[in-house]
Amino acid sequence: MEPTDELLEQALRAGDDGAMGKLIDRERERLLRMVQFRLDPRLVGRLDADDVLQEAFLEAQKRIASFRADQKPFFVWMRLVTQQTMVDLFRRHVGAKMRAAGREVAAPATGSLSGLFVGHLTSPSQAAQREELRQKVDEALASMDEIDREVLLLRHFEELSNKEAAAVLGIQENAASNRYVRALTRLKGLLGGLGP
Amino acid sequence: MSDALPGHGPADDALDPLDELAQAYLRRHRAGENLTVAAFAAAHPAHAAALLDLLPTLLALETCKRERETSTGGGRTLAMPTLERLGDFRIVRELGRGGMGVVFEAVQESLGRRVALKVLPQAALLTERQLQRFRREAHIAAQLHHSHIVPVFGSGESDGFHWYAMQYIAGQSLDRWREDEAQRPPAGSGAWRNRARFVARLGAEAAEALHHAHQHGTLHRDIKPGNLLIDQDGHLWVTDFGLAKALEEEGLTHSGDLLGTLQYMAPEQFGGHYDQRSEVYALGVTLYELLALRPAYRAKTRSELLESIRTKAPTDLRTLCSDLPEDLILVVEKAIAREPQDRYGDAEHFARDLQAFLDDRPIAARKQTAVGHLLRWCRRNRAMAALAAATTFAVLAAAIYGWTMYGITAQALANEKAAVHRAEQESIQKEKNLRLTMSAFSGVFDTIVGQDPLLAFDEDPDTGEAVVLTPVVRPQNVAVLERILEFYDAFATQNEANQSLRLETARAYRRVAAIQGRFGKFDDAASAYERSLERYQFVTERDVSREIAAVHSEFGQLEQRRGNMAAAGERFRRALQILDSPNLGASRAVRRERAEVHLQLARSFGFRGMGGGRAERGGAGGPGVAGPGAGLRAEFEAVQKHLQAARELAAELRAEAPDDPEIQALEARCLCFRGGGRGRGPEAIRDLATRRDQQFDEGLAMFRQLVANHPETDAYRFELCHVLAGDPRLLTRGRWRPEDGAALARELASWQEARGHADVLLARQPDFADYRALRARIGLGLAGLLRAQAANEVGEAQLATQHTILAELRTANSLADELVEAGSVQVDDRGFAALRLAARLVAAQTLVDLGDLNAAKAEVRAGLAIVNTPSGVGDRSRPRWFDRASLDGVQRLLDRFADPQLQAEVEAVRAGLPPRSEGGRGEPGRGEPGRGEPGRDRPPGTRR
Repeated sequence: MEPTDELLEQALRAGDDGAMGKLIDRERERLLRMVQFRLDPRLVGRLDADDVLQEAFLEAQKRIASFRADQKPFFVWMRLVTQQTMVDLFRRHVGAKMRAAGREVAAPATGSLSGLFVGHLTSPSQAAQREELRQKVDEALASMDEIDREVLLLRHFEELSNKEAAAVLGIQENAASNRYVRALTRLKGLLGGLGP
Repeated sequence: MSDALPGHGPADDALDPLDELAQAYLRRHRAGENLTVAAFAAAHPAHAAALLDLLPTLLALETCKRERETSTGGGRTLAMPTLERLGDFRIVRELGRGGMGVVFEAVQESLGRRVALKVLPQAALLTERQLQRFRREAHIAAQLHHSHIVPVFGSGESDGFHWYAMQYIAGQSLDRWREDEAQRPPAGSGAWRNRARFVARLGAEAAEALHHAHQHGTLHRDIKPGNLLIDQDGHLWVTDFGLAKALEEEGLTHSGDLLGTLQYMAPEQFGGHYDQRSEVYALGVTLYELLALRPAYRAKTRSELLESIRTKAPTDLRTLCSDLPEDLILVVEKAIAREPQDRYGDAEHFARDLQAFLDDRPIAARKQTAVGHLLRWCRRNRAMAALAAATTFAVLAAAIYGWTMYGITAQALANEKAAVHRAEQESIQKEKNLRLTMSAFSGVFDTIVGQDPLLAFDEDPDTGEAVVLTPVVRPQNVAVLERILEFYDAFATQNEANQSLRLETARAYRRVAAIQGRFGKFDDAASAYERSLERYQFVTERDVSREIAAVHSEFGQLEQRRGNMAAAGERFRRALQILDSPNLGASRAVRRERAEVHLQLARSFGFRGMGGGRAERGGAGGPGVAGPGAGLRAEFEAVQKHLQAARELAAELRAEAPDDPEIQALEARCLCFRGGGRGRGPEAIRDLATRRDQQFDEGLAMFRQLVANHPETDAYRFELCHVLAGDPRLLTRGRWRPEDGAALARELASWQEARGHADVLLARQPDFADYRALRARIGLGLAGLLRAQAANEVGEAQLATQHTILAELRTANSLADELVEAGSVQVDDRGFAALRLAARLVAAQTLVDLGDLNAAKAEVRAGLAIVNTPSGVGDRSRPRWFDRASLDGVQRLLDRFADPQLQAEVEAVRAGLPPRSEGGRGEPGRGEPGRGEPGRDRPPGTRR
């Protein structure tokens, strides 16, 4: 983290509530990406990623005490809050007839992709090729061990650093890094021949 | 991440070294740097292999991420402020928003002209490379001048917007037209037909425009109804050439349009291939939509859409619009064939076929559909199923398809008898199905038989496209074919009024006969030819006399092979009679057929002159023409007459069409022909023989050239084999004397060449009796020649040659025995038996020379078995010249064995032979070289 981030975090921990807005602003893009990837398909169309983030921001302000009590980096904590917010939103919008809440959110966004219409700013043929690639990757990810999948999602789709990913997963940093390389190797095996 | 990744430092030793490098690469990649995996790996040699291994996967994940980002609501939209003016252009109104911007009607004020102005989103959204490309494509499009391409005036940039000015076309795009048409209440029965012609005309114009662009190296890349405009005069315009390509990559095609455009994408585009045939496809799918008034492919989601484009054919147009002309349907179906090679090769051919439809001329797309589907199935499943099985499947599928379609429509017809109008429609449908079935059937035949020039109906407009597939023909396929043919025959008999069915049945029998002939099933072939001729009699609506002549001619050749020379001559005369009819005119094809029949006639006499027809002349006549009787002289003259006629025609044709391979083959056949008198005889005839030797060499050279130029045409190779391994000079030379060394070497080289070609043929069609017999005969011939060579050798060389002889004979014997076991025997049985017998005796002699008496005895016994079981057609009581002669040869061998038991066996066989008196004087007509010493060093028997 840049020193300024650290300073902001310190300020937040020290009781400067205003620092949160700035921090969230800095992490906004990554948080949005996380929401986009992990929002349940049944919520797509009803809720915008921005709406979710708005809710999460309000939620974070309510729970600021938990950040101060914990040693988690701000982004990791905020990400958790956002995830929890998504679960709550899902309950509210889709109803209570769901399985364990955590799974709904943590499940890879595989299901949410198939029904979606894609193809922003691409030519048809490229879009088709990417669609193929994406299906392949989705299938491969879905067939992977949960932690392997998670580490790839975190590192790539959410663009987390190894340190952050380790914190999210609750494992040692070097274990997370090994896990990442191993998961990448496994994914490569599952995808088979991808051109260089 | 924002924090700097430690390059080499120990600060983040928690990171796996590969992870570290991957992050470094990722950071640069995400920053937009164009860094290849290979370059990055090269910069880190210690981990190069692992990086090359893993980074592509990492990039795949990144690509997916971008897709996901844009998929969930994050898509940027075209920010296009309301424009009133753009540079020189005064905006009149917005015409529409498309994938690549907004189209305005505008006035270019400096020139006072009305234009359609396409405005791209603000430049900030475009990369420099895209802009360059856009300008380049606009420039290229501006170079296209065609009456059906919307002229591009130019492109430029004003106020941060890139624009593209085209001629303003007052009219509508075809997607709007289609919507309007679909809204209209259903019109009367003529409406479909009128619309069909309208759409065909638009299609032909669009295809011409595409062809023009293709010729100038430009692909449109986004053919769809929305890019085809019709103006107020109904004139068609193609617009937006190359724009899609210009904006490819991170391009501008906006998501909302994508589904619309995907509908027109050819299946191969998903694999990254795109060429003019993909545009033929897109136009074909467009025409389909305009005819059916609904898209060829529809789906709710993109993946469903992709899946159906890749795996399904669109709904049959016949079921969507009942009275659409069949020919137009076939043209559209050909254009949208899933496999690019099944489509029109280019837009020009597509345009031409649409025009042919408009002009009521025959279209080239006929005969695709059913047979095309089946063949494609075969092609696709070649890896899974053996080709033979696939072929069988195709045959069965054709039959099943035909019968079910017929059954369905016949049933429908029966149920609807009261509704006369409906019945008429059903009847038309029935006809269509029938025609489709028949063409599928003949297509399957062609496939099974291969592209044999003798079987191709080269001038029949109904035949359509040649199917480039040469499967191995298996007897079991033929069995299936025969079964189907029986069905069809019954079917044809029930539908006597249906001329085309009759004709197809006649043709089918002819094809079956040809195949039977190839498998050596002469009797079956003959009855199939007879049936074919019977069916042809009922064809009255069109002149099929040329086909009938061809059947007679083929039948004649079959009779020749069965040994029925008189019947063969009769067939050839019938064929010639038909071909000489003035009604047929004197087209090149007709004259060529005449020449072939003349040659066959000369050959049929030639056979008789050479002794093949000896029995028919009551055994009279001396050897060759040495003591010619009156009949023989007449035959000799007849041969000369026909040969002369054939040669004259051949020379004439050759002058007209020197490059036609069939005509070259004809001339080569004429040159290689040797008939009538030959060998010893008066001076004049000897001179003639010398001249013929020269001609023969010329003909041989021509055949070699034909094979070199057309290596896939088995028929030429087959004939070359016969010429190489059938050189009658070999027969006239008799026993090889030591001083004949050079001639012997030449002869051996010739036969070895023939062996090579025969091996090629056998590898292609291992079950053809003709090829097996040919190879067996060549093996025996080589053995005979090698024996002559061995006689001049000593020591190791001789030993090696003797073993080669035995190897050749083993090949020959096993092929010959298999042919006998399979019941398919070549030429007449006598000749073949003589061949097998000679092979056994030559083997026995060689084994004796090698000192292996036991093996020699085994060969002798095998030979005796052949003498003992006279097989064959014709008169079984007639003695076979070679039997007794062979026994004499065996007797000489026996003297070296001193084996009383074998001696007794020989005596028993000899006692069983018919008396010698009737025609037992060897084979005088052939000028048999080994006469008096039969069975020794005798070169192979027959030449055809």
